[in-house]
Amino acid sequence: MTAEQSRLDLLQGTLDLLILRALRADAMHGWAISERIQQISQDVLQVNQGSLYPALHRLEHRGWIKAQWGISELGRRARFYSLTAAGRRQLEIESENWNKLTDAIGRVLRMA
Amino acid sequence: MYWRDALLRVQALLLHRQMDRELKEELQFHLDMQARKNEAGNRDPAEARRQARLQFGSIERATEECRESRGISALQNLLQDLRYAVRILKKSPVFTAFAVLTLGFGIGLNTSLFSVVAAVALKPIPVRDSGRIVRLERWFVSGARGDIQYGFSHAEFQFFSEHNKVFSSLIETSFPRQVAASLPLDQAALESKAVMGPPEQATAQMVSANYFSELGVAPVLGRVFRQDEGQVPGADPVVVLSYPYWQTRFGGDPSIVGKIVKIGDTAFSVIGVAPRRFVGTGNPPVLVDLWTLLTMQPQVVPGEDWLNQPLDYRIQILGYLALGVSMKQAQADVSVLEERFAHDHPASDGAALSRREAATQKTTAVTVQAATFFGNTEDIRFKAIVVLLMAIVGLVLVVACANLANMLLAKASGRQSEIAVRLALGASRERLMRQLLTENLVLAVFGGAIAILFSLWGSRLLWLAVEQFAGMHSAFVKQIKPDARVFVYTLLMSVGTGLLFGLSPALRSSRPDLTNALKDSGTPFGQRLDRSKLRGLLVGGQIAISTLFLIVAGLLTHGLIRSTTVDPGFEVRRLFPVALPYNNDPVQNRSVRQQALDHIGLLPEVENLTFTDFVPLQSTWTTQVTIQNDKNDAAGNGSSETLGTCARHVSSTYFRTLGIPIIRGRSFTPDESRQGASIAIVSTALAREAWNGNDPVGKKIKLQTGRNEWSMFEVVGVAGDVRSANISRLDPAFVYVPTSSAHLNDYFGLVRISGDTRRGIAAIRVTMEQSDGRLRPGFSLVSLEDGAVQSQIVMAKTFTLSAMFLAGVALLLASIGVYGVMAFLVSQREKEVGIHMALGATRNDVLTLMLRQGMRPVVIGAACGLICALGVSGLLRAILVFPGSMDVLYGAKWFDPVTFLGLATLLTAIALFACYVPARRATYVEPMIALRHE
Repeated sequence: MTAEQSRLDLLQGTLDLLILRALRADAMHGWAISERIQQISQDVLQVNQGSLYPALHRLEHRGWIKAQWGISELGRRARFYSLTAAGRRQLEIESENWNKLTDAIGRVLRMA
Repeated sequence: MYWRDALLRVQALLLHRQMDRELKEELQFHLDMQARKNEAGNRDPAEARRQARLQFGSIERATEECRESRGISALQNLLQDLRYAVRILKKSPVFTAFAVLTLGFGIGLNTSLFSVVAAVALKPIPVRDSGRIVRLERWFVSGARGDIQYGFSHAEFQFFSEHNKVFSSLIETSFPRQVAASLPLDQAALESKAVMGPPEQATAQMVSANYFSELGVAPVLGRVFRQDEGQVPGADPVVVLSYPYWQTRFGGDPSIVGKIVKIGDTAFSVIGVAPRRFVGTGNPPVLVDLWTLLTMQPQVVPGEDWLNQPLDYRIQILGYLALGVSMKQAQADVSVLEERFAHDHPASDGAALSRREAATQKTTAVTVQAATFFGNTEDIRFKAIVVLLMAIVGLVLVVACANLANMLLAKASGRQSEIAVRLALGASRERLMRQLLTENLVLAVFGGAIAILFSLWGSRLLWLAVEQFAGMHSAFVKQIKPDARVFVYTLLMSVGTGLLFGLSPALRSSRPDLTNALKDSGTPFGQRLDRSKLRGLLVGGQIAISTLFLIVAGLLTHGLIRSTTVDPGFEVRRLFPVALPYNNDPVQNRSVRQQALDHIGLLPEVENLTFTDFVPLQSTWTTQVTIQNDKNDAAGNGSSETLGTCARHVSSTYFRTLGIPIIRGRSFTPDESRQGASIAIVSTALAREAWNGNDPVGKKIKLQTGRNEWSMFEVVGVAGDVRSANISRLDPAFVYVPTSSAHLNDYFGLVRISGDTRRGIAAIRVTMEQSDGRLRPGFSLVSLEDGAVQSQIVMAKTFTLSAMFLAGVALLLASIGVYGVMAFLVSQREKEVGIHMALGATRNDVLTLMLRQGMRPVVIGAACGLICALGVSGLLRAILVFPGSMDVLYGAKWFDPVTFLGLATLLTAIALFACYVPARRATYVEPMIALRHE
């Protein structure tokens, strides 16, 4: 049972960033990524599941993540995604950009 | 990165089914995991799964988006559309067949015409570096047009070669010329022992030594002319044979090199054979039998001196533009050179100039044009004819496209429900339109393929038809292949047609009122109104064009039938035009010609001999004549009227030779026709027109004999009316004036042979040979009947046959169109028919209703076509104002009610039948079934 949370509309770019970050530690399948993001953000961010997979496939096509079939906890096979070297680089770039952006916005908001 | 991208796309393309399966599996996994999570919250499994689905959102959309991210969706959609289109088209094979054939035929016809026109007039001659080869053309003060514009003198050629700065090379070539060639009888004999056969006719061309080498033509046997040849007149008696000539007259003899061919009196040795693909440099587009050097001209054409006469314009000049030189620059340079040349060689130098080539024939400019097979392709008249032809054939295409449009409209309307369902299921309008357009494109492409096949074939046929009355060699047929340009043209036309006519139905179809469309299953009664107007317009247009074609064809056929029984009014079967010998020295020329005439006149086989400046039925002199009217006004001055008339200089024996009766007065006396007396004989028609039947003998007339020159003549006789300008009608007006021995150079002899014509011709030839050993004009004694008359009749035949063909095509297409439209209308209105009949209408009532609706555009169209045909007929009639022009109808009335109304009625009857068949079928359907019809 999920509590009624305010869902933030995630821009496509941000979703990409979150996915990349989630995959930094280990390889996961799509559902696990969705759960992880939700978990860590303490239910603030709930990924629209319908846009997750298109995003994953897009990233895969761009070469930032790669996919492999593996055995899941259900015993069935599932598609596991992991970061590529290019993906790691992209993650750094995007994180930095994001931080710069939020800092700037924060400063503007804090100004007297 | 790009190659990686491409690789992925290719992979996606090839493995798309596998990738789809995997995607499905992946998404299913997600759903199962979510369901499991939901179950943990104590829901029953079914509910958990449903919740998981809801949480996910639209699985279809996610799948679609994932697919799209592969980057090949556009391509995949296209493939899918194509497959679907093919399926749909297979479902209605008759429609597809009709549509494809209609398009193919219409476009193919256009393409054939375009191929021929392009090959003949647009494409440069097929030689080395054809983009840079140009032909020189000169323009006269007198405004004279035609072949003479391409004539230059050898001296000019040498002058230009030496002093120009714009051409990398210049080539000179004579016009094709008939010569008497004797071939060795015994093919296997050595040259020294060769026995030569009798002289036969061959076409020859004299060229500069660099002709073949500059044009990049390598011989298939032997060699071509060398640079060191062609330096000294008469020193290099060598010929190169053309491929067809070598094949036909020498049997493709592989040891032909070194054999002797006699041209006239001189023995020439064969040095090589041109390759099969070489068809000469055109203008006129004749493939000659052999080429020799221009320096051999005194041997090939004895008695003339082209090499040393600076104002004797005998040869054509072609040239290759130097690198970086534009046509404009070349033109400017050559014009300047020509001025210098003219300055150095003023007109008085030309002793050989006849009276007509007076000083007013000065050259005003020299221009440069791309060298094509035909000369004078820049001529506005040529262009006008081409445009006219293409417009006519284009009309046939219009009919075809109208057909197609109607059929497409019909089909589209019938698919309302299908489209509505697809839209309801979530297809985007864009996608739907793309799919409809693809269908039409497939049709168009198939049509284009048929068109290409047709044009491959059609251009040959067309060329053969043109050959009939233009008299060219068939070597050119093989040169007419549909080139890349034609292919592009065809493709563009098919695609354009498909898009154009597919667009409207596609637009209309993809915007239906969904609920209505689904309910009514495709027959929304109210919506048909504006579409039926368009349909009616298309049908009406088709019928109008068909009527026009049909009537014009009918008129021409009428004329053709009349032409077979036409009688020129004078002797043509035993009358032979004879070209008199020619000598550059005018004094000697005259005496030689007189001698020849005298000798021929003495021959027993020659019944009569006369000479004239224009050979009847071959050429005409059209000019103006001013008649002094009898009525004097109050002041006692006479008024005058000026008429157009044909005229001719004739000798005293003319009327007797041709068998033209002198009705009033007398003919000329031999003295008068020696001195060129100022007397004239008029034709009966002219007498009637000008003097209203009063006796014109003794009256004075003024005839325009030069550009601004009028001469007075006194009428001494009236001759009967004949058809000497052309075979199609009596000369509307004719003035005969006597010849003068001072102008013997301008005249042709006309002999009337009695008894065996072959013996007569042989006798004449012998006489000509004997009159002066060196002089021997080319011999082609063809009677007027076999020559001039035949060629005019053949021309009429060709025109008529073409018109009939086009009319037939238009009629066929129009009938199909009418049938198709009616069939569609009927199928759409089956329910309506059912209601009518259920409410008590009889079969006939319904039939009448449908026929009335279907025939309305037909009748209107036929009426329009009739009016247009009247216009065309009137135009043909208007041309007759010019005295020398041809009456294509051969005297048939221009408004012939039988032809006009008869054919229009025929067309209407055919259309009625085409309407009747499907309409009748509809009325036989049971009303109950019709009402229930979905």
